[in-house]
Amino acid sequence: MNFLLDGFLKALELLFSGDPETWSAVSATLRVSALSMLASLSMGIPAGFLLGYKQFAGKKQVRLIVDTFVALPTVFIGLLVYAFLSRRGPLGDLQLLFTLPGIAIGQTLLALPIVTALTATAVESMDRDLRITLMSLGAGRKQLFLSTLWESRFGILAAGINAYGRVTTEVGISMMVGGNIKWHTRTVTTAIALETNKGMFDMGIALGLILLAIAFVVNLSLSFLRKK
Amino acid sequence: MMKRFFAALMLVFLAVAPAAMAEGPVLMMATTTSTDNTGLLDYLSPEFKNDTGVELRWTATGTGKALKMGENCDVDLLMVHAPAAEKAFTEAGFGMDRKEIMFNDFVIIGPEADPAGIKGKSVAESLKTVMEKKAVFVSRGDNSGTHKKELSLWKAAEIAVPEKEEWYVQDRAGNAGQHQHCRRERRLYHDRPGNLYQIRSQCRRKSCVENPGGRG
Repeated sequence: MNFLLDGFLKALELLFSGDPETWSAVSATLRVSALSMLASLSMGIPAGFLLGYKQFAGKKQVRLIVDTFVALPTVFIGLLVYAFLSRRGPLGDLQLLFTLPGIAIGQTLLALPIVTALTATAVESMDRDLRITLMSLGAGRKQLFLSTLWESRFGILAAGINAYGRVTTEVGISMMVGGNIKWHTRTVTTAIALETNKGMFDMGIALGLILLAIAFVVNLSLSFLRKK
Repeated sequence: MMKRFFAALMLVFLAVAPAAMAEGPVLMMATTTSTDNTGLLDYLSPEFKNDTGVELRWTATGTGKALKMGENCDVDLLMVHAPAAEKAFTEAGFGMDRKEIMFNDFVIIGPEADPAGIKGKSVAESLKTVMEKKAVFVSRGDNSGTHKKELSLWKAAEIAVPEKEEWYVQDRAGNAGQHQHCRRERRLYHDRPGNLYQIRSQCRRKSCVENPGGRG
């Protein structure tokens, strides 16, 4: 049990002594998650909005598929992306294997269904009353669309925060596609896995706390967007 | 509100920008976790860069996955330890110029006080003594190279593997580093400190350090 306390103290030490290895992993985690969030939000919010807002044939089935993809195992995504990015794979020429953008592709696949499904739910859950009220006030189609988008913003924010949590904590994709290469693709989570394998449990705990601290700072900086 | 969203988006772009950096020539290697854990590569890679100007990067995985990455041309170099699989790999035309750079020794290690009194005895005699004295013996029990070696040693000593004996402990933690901890956490160890025997593999080069997890 000692390693819990040791880990806590070590986390403080690593952060404040500016340990270059730790900061390199923190920076990799931040950069790769920023990339994947950018991609998954810019695709997932419009897709989720349409899925929740529009009525079309087969909507239920599409929703079912999206919801199922929320449960994609990260190791599976990692293998899938590896198969494509491997030099023998169809996208091998891009040389994205063992790079942060490569990891970001996998993490985008992880986050996209989450953003899409939660955005769709956010839009759906307010659609009914809002639509009737707006229509009774004489809103046109464009106004209806914009108001729904605006009113579901907190739900969409929650979708983003949720996806961010998954993306920063996943280890399967980062390990398989990134390869945990020191100074390059070693993220905080793959560093945790490495230290744990080495039997350095206190270091693992320390890095886990650092990851939590990152999540805290990110959520804190987003909190001004939340409902007051 | 909209402005804030855009401000947040800009921040994201700024965070991503340094991702695109210029890079020199890189030699990509796949190796095993145990090699990585020794710290040897951390020592060698700056020297290699000094000598050749090429940056050495490595990913540490299991031998099987490393060989697969070699097959797929994802890495330029492999540093693995599974001679039979390596030979098959080169024979199939996936690799060339296979060199043996290190080898493992297997040793029986035990507490310094040597309660069973195996010091100076042959391997077969030692195992026999451990069995007779019912000293606690920790087996990896995970089908790893070390475990396979252990099984072959029992066989060579003409003793059936004492799997069911109480003093024979199977420890299936697999990875060498975790193994140390798992064993340490066993109540048994606390009950009988300094009374464990086991077979361990040891590197035969000075540069190879023992795992800092603890000693047997």
